[in-house]
Amino acid sequence: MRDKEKEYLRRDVQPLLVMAQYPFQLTRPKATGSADRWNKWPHAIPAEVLFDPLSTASATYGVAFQTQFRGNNNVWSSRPAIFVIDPKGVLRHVDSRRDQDIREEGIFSVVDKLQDER
Amino acid sequence: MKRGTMAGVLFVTVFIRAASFGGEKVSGPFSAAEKGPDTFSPTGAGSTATPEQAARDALAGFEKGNGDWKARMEALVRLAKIGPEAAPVLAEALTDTPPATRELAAQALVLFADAKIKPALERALADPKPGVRLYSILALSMLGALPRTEENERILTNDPSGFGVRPLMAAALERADRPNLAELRKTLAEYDLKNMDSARVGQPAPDFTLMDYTGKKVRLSQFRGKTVVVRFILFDY
Repeated sequence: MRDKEKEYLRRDVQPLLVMAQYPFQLTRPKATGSADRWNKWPHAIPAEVLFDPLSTASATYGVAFQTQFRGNNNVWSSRPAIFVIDPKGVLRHVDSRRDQDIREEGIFSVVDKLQDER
Repeated sequence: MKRGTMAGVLFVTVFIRAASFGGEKVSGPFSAAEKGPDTFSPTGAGSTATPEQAARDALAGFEKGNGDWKARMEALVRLAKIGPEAAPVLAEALTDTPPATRELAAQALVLFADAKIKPALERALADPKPGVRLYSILALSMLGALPRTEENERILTNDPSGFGVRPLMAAALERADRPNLAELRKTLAEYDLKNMDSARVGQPAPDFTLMDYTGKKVRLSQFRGKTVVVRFILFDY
């Protein structure tokens, strides 16, 4: 994501990350022994992280409760998806996968096309 | 764990430490301490069913349906509208119901956690379905950090669900916040089910307000004037 910071900034794009969990679920407990690994991750991530534990936003966008990993061994999560919204607040692009996060690479070309049209 | 998934969770976790945003600072349901008695209990205008019967009807409706995400959301909203009086029915449903119903009951009980249903949730930690165990841990954690009992330590180290139950137990043992359950239930109860799946390309993006890690409310429409990329990311331990 840090590598994408300049790409977002250059385009004046605001990324919002939405997670259908409670914030405490993202803490990396000492018991896992992976604190060092977490601490090494880049800190400058140009996104607002939002929590949707009740899945209200996820349901409105049609992605709620559609992904459980590892044979029902995990909590219900939103279906990974990206929505691109133009400066007027109109939804312009949707990309969604059943069980895999979507990388941003393809989104920048969509954003560029939208901005070229303006 | 898939690399992309891990990466997503990693960058989110680190970012939230440094998140800085100009949203309104509020006392939100993630961080507010429970204050006073839990009084939110909408009865459902026009309904003659008792809260207990309404809760049974909500579970029965879910069982009879196709169990898809809309049915799950509808059941959760219905149960939230009923309020705390649904809790005994949900606790009862943790046993002797189909696995999907037990999981739904445990998921709903996350919003109804109190001392009375604690024994039922603790028994559900032995449920064969990982989803039931997961949501039971989550529900118990709404009352505060789980104690380091022999049973909880056993789950932490030996539960067969190494990518779900064990990490959640680890987080629950260290949980520091006390969510405001009444406020969470109220938010869910007020969700208009007609809004489900209403986002359409070419139409105004449905607005929403969510909270960030610090409890600030952030509204999608506050970014009007900028291109916004909303990314629903997968959460996987």
